[in-house]
Amino acid sequence: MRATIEFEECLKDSPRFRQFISKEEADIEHLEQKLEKIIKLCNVAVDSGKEYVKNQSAFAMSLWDLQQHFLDNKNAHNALGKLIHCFQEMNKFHTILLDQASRTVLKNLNVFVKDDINQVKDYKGHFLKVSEGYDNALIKNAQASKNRPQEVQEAANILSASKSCFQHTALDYVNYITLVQARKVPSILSTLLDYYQACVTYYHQGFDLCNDFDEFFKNISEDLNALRGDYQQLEKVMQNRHMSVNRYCDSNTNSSSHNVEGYLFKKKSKGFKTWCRRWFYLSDNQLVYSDLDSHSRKRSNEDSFSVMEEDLRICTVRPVNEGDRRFCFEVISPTKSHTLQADSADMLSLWISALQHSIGAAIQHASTHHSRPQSTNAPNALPAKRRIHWEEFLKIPGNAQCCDCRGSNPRWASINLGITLCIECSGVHRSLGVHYSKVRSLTLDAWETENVKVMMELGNEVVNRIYEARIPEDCELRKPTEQCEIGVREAWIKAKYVERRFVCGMPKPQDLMASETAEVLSIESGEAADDGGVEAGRSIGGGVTGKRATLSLGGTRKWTVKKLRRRRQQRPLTKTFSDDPSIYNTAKTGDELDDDDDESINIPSMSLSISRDDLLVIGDDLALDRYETPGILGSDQESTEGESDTEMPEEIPFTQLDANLLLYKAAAVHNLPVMCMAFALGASKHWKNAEDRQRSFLHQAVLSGSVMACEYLLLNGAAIDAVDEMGYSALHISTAKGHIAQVYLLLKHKAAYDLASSDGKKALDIAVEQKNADIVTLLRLTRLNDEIGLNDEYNGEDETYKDVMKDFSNFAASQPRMLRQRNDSNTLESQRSSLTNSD
Amino acid sequence: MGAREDEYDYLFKVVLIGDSGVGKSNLLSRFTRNEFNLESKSTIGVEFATRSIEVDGKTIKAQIWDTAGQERYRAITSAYYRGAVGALLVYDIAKHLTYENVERWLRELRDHADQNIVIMLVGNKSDLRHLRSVPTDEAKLFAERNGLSFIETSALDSTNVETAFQNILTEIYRIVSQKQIRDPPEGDVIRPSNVEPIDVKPTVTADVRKQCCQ
Repeated sequence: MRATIEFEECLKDSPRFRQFISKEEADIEHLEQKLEKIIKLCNVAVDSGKEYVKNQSAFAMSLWDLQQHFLDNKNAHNALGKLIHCFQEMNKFHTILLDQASRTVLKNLNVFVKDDINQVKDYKGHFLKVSEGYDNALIKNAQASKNRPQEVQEAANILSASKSCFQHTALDYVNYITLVQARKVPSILSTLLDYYQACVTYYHQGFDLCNDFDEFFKNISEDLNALRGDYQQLEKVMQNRHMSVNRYCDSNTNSSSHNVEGYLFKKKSKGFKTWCRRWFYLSDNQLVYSDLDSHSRKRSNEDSFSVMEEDLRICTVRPVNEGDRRFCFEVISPTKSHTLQADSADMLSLWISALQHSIGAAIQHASTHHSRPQSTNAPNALPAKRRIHWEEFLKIPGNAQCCDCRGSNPRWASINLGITLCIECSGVHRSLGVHYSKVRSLTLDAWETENVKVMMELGNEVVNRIYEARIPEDCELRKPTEQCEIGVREAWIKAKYVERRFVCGMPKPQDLMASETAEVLSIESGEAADDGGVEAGRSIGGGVTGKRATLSLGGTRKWTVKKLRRRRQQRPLTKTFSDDPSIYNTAKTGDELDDDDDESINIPSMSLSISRDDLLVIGDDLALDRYETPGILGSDQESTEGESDTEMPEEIPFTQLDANLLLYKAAAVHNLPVMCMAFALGASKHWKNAEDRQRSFLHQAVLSGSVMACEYLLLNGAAIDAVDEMGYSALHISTAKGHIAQVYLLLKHKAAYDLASSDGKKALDIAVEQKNADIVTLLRLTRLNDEIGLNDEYNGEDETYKDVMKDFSNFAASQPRMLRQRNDSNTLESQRSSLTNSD
Repeated sequence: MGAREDEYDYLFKVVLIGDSGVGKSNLLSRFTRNEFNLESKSTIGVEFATRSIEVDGKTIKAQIWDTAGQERYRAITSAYYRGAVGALLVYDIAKHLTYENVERWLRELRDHADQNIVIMLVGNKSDLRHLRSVPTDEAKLFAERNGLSFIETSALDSTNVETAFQNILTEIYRIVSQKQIRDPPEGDVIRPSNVEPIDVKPTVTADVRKQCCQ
């Protein structure tokens, strides 16, 4: 305990008192300075600690990122996770410690300095003032004149008051000083002790934490030892890496594997006939190569694989000895020959034997079993639009069985009818002639996009609803079965497609007007019930549809055909089944349309009009329920996408119902099932609508913007060069409309491009007027090709021409929207004056 | 088809490219029809013309693709360059910008054309001497640096038009004919007329006979 001063001294205001005061003041001053320094340094320590914690936590976060890198390695992922957890815990403890430091040291010391010391200081001022007042009072008292008693009296009073005040104040001051001096030690020490406790807690927590993780990390270090061992082994293996060069050579030449892949030099077939090195492989009966050449990657934005030969079964391979280069061989198909060069004689023989083996295997494979899961070629799969897997066709309703005999595993198709067939029935179809049925192989032929589209819209179920709608009870013909004789097939198929005996006839308008209920182009006939497939399909197809087909005709006075609708691909991630080309059944459009692309479909008024009793929507009963559709074509490729749907379907009085008008209307709305029905009902291929500018079906299809409707009509023999009263052909109109894909299609079907309309315009003139560069190019290029063809003794098509046309078709098929945009900007003003103002 | 008066030994596709208004169409019409039209319109898409010339006693038919210079009148790019063995990259000596854009056209060639395509840089409108903004030496140096041949022409007064086409076609001919000497021609497309039948058997050995279809 330090010495204090006697109160007496202080009452006396002795020099000792003053000395004491100043000494104590200096002492407190000194203490304050030290404390302030401590506070400052502690602040710095806490701040830098906080900075440290922040960085530490950033470090832990960065470990999280590292952990993501090890997603495939569970152990590493786990260990990292634990470590991160551990570091974060430690960080947390550190934060707590810092918090404690600022709470204890900073706060307490600050309080001590601010309150206690400052109180002393404040009081010092007060004390000095009072002391000065006392001094003044003494002086005044001393100066008081004896002659003025009143003054003396007054001074004495003041002096006595001041003295008393001074004495109290001095005592108070001494009190404060003494208390501060007494308190400083416990205050400071307890503060530091608190801090010490916080530190103890910090280390303790750390210890506990490490204890908890001890086991785990011990295991890890054991694992690490194992890994180190592995690494050393691996290192040893890697030391022998150069051995593999020799081994690779050996195995390459000795290998009996027929799954050959590797680089070959490929000779270009046009231009400079230069050689380029490409990665080739055999996949799924096809010879495929990568479009990337071995050095540059400039084409990486394009499709990266091309099919050199689509069907190896029709190819042969042989070594080439003529020519300058060594190790060459040829792959020859009926139409083409490719020269390829291997790197060595061994590789040459390896490639040749591999190719021959896979040709052999493909031939045998085709004859023994067909089905092969599609997933096998997933990693190397080609872009879907180029490579259409035939099995997808079988997923269209009804297509898994032959359209005529219901035989399983149909491998053929009639592209104009849109059906699949077994080989026996396909033979009968061939014998009908191509004006009735155009037969293609699902497995052997290369399929054009537009043919695929037609197939997608029809299918055996839809077509049989039309062509086998009404099989009389007393039918003298036997229905063919899988094993039946050829004669039965022939008779049936002829009756079905040539004589069209089972098609439900076109109702007479007067019947319709008269009867209360009638069978209106409906497949709801008793005979159809015989057919299990159709019946099943119908019941799935929804009761609503069935009802509509036989709707009470009491009030039915008009008919219409509505637009065929594809769904847009909505979930690009789910690969196969996301788009639905099913024919839209209006009964369910309302709620299903919501999630569609807003511009593509919006028919609020449609369902309204359909629900009316006096309107028959033809083709509704052909609508299939949504079915899982193969993802052959995304609806993105649908050429009509983006067209406006706001207009109401045109309603036509029943008095005007006939097959031709039906086809005419169906073509305008590209409703293939109804078009198919109209053909079945006997629509004439050369009919023109006298009421509507002498336009043909094809004009209508072109106006609708649909590529597949055009293709369907062309496949079924529609007159391609028919002109309307203005002398415009389909090509004129598609040109004026700026539909590149249609122009391409028409040109492919050899439309006459030199036809002049009555005002003397050729398609090219219109394209130039419209400034549509793509169509101008297509038209001029086709003309050029024809000129070359005339001069060419082989009369073959120019390779370049074919390639360029293919580019256009790919472009038109894959990016119709882009094409349209390109042209919209070109043709805005000209479109206004265009010759097509009907719709 | 029997023999025709325009038989040829080689058919070369050559494209004319360059900015809009540099005179591509007039170069073509001067070369193929000896015509010139001061008021010619913008080319839309592409226009074609052919002319045959003789080199070393061989008839070479040039199929010239005159492409649109203006971006909005151009068709899809790949159409222009497929199968092209030569390119005349034209600029206007009186419009410096058209010369600056040569780089861009070279890039397009590199991206879309055969890497061996023969390219000739053509400074057109050499009759506009008083308006010249691209010095001959500068363009010549640029051409050398980029491995292009170079010529200045005037479709208006016919200067060098013939020479330009002659030179590029001869150069192509030299390359192609040399290649063919080293590498005798084989039918890439086997025509039905000269094809032997093939055996389609699982395992064929060397020297199979070909057939055109089953």
